[in-house]
Amino acid sequence: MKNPKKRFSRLYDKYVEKIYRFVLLKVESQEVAEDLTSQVFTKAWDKFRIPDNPNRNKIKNPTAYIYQIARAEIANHHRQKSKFQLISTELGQIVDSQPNLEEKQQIQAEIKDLRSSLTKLNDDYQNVIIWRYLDDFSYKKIAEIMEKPEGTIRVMVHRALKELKEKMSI
Amino acid sequence: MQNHQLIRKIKELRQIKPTEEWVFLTKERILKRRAHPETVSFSSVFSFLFQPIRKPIFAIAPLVVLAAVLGGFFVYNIVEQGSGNQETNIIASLERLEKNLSQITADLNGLKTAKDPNQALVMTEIVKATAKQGEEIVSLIKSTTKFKPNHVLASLNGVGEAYKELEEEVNNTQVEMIKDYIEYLKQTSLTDEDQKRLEKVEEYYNEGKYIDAMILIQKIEIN
Repeated sequence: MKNPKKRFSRLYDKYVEKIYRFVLLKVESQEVAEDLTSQVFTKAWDKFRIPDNPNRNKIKNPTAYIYQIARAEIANHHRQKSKFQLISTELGQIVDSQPNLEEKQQIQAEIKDLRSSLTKLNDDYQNVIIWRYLDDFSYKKIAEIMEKPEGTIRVMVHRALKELKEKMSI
Repeated sequence: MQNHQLIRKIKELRQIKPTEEWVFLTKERILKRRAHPETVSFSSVFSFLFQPIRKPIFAIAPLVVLAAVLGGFFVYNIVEQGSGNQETNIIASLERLEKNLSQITADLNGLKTAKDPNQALVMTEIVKATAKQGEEIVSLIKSTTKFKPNHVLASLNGVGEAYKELEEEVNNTQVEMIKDYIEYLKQTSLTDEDQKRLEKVEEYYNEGKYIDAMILIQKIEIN
């Protein structure tokens, strides 16, 4: 049996940035995003490390698994807070390669506008856009996460982009 | 706007990332987590305090965490109970915080002479976080309790200052430990890759980027 610490470590290193970004695009602050992301991986680690856990080796699709936990944590968070989704205007750290301050400010403004429009889409549309264009997942991988046929995902992505354009009024 | 232009814009969101420090510390904290920690649902200010550490190599963490937990418990009681009991509870909390402070200071001194400098560095971050929590508990007590006689307020301020000074001492200790560890590593045989890492660590150290130095130094393996 593979070392659970190493397995978890690989999972963490591979997905922590993606999960953090996925969560931050849906919650009200960087602090909440950090908390929820931490909870996601804590739950994943709990599953990996308990020696007698019969489900330990049944995680066939780590990607689907980790995003499943993330979605549940976000949904749980919104349920506990308020029915109004307050999406933060702060974006936490933005690592960019633009040395020019004016360009940097412009990019940040564009990112905020885009993010605001993205959050107006329904949850599924937001997710497929994030997975397809931010995480670079294939349609097949997204289909596995959402447990839908690949063809359905392709249509969803197409419709999500269309709706996003409408929300951005362009 | 064409789809490909929109997609290019969407990809700009990739610039959103967590800090390296947070990524590193979160992983360390999760991996050190015990099977079923006994937690109490206090506010998030206290959430960090409930992370028992499995390997008390320095015999530090269990005592520190326990003291901090109890401190948090007292604060919880202060907030919940009426002002009649508040002074008693504030004083009890202060005593716990002062005891905690002494324990953390003693542990920090122990870290300076620890055998495993790598682990000791990681532990200083935990000690620093505990010191910060101590400050936050003091602030919370000050902000949530209405009745505060002068002598109690003076004590609260004193304890708060002491935690701030402790945090600064931890920072200074970390810098010293990083410097010593760099010198130690220079005397050991390293792989070419680790040698380059060490050079980068020294660069970070000289630039005052101690967190970056600490993160990178963890990746160096001693043969």
